[in-house]
Amino acid sequence: MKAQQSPVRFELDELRRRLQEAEETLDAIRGGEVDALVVAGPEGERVFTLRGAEHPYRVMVESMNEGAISLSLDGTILYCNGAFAAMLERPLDHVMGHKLAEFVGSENLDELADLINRGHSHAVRAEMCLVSPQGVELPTQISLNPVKMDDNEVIGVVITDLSERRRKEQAQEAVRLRDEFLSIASHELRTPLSTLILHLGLLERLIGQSDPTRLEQNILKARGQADRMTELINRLLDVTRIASGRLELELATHDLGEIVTGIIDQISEEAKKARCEFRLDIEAGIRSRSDRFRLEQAIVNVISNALKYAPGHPIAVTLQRRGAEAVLMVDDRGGGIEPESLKRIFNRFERASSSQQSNGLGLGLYIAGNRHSAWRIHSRRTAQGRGVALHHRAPAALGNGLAIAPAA
Amino acid sequence: MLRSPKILLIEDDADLAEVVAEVLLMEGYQLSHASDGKAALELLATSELPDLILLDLMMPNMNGWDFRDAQLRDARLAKIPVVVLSATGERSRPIDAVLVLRKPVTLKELLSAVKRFSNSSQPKNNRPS
Repeated sequence: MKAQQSPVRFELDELRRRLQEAEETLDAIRGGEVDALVVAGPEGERVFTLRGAEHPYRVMVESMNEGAISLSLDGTILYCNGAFAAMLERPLDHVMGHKLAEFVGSENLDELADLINRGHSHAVRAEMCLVSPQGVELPTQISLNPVKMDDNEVIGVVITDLSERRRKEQAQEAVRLRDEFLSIASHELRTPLSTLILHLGLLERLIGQSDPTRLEQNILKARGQADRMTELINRLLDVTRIASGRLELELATHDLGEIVTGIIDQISEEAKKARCEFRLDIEAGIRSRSDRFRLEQAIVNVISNALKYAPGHPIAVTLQRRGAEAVLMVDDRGGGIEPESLKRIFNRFERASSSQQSNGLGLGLYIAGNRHSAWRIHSRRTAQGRGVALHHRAPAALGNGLAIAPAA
Repeated sequence: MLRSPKILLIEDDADLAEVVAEVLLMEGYQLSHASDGKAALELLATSELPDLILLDLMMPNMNGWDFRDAQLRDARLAKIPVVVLSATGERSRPIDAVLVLRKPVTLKELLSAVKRFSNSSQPKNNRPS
């Protein structure tokens, strides 16, 4: 005989049903599926509408171009809008419930943790990159505001995509560099052109005079200026090739010590004019695989730089083996380089001093340091006013590098 | 007997300085040379004053603009006329000079400017005090 269901059991099932219904209603409210509630009471049914208050805000937040997040105090994303998920190139359900820290670059993790901590009680903002699943970085500004919601404390976060602004800034910077380059290139070409024109003017006057030696000297000097202009133009073409990755290398194994001492011989006249004495410490038998022409060009550029910016000071040139690396150091005792300038001197058309103080295309260290000539650069701060030491590191087999270190 | 005008050339490019010197010496001018503004001020402090200064602008140590400022502040030097030999563009910082010649300059332009401005009969105190 089937036992009759007890009233207690019946009551329990009814309560369970109501509880489930209430939970479903709450979920629907949380999910934005409910715009109004009808509540029955002693005075009849009353309608509570959500459309008047929350709905417009929800629509607004969903249609924003900025990313919007509500973040728990421990940095978990409780809610985010579609714009934020789109910034991350992920579906919404792969974002909500995850930590915000999962979507920023590893170099920003400490800064983000600090930002969230401060965001518990203050409005704070910072710029940092979000990272897509493909590893693409998106520059953003992240603004955090503490929000008190009934008994819950959350952090309201607005994320603004800065990539368009960055692109504009980069385009403006490219235009500035191009204008500066045209100005410098024009200046640098005008001086040898003047010299060439004056030699040609002199030759016109000298023709017919019975001094062939003087004629010959002026022709040679005119040719020298034409060569100088050709060299300048070739450097400009090198820059274009480096920038577009079309610089072709002819790699072979060379004796670095032999190359360095050869260059010092070639440059000795220039050094004498600059009153710079070389102090050489060259370890024999160090070989490196490089494009000899580019390698020589890079070393000449670095040494010329020392002659240019530290005239009257000795220049120590040291080549040593350090483990598997060959290290070339060019260490002058000139004015040093401002820390701010250190960051940019390996860029194109950059000089540490102002353009009114110095001639030159500002290309020497750019060509010396570009990765296409198999040189890699590590820059460190140099002691202000104590000269510059340039380190060129070359693993014995392949690959080189150049670093700036404090002069001792 | 007339003294040939004395020109001070302030130019950091050795090749250009050399050919300008050859041209001016051939034309009978006296010439002295300094490779930057600082060296020029040192030279002017200890030697006979020139009739004309040919001044480059972009130079290490002391550029042409700073040299000109220093020259104008020194009553002994202020009246020496200055012809600028500039490789900078039209939009560069202006400079107070009797003439600005833009490089590349021809032999004719150079000689014409030197002749015109080195004959000015400014009273000069030629000896350093």
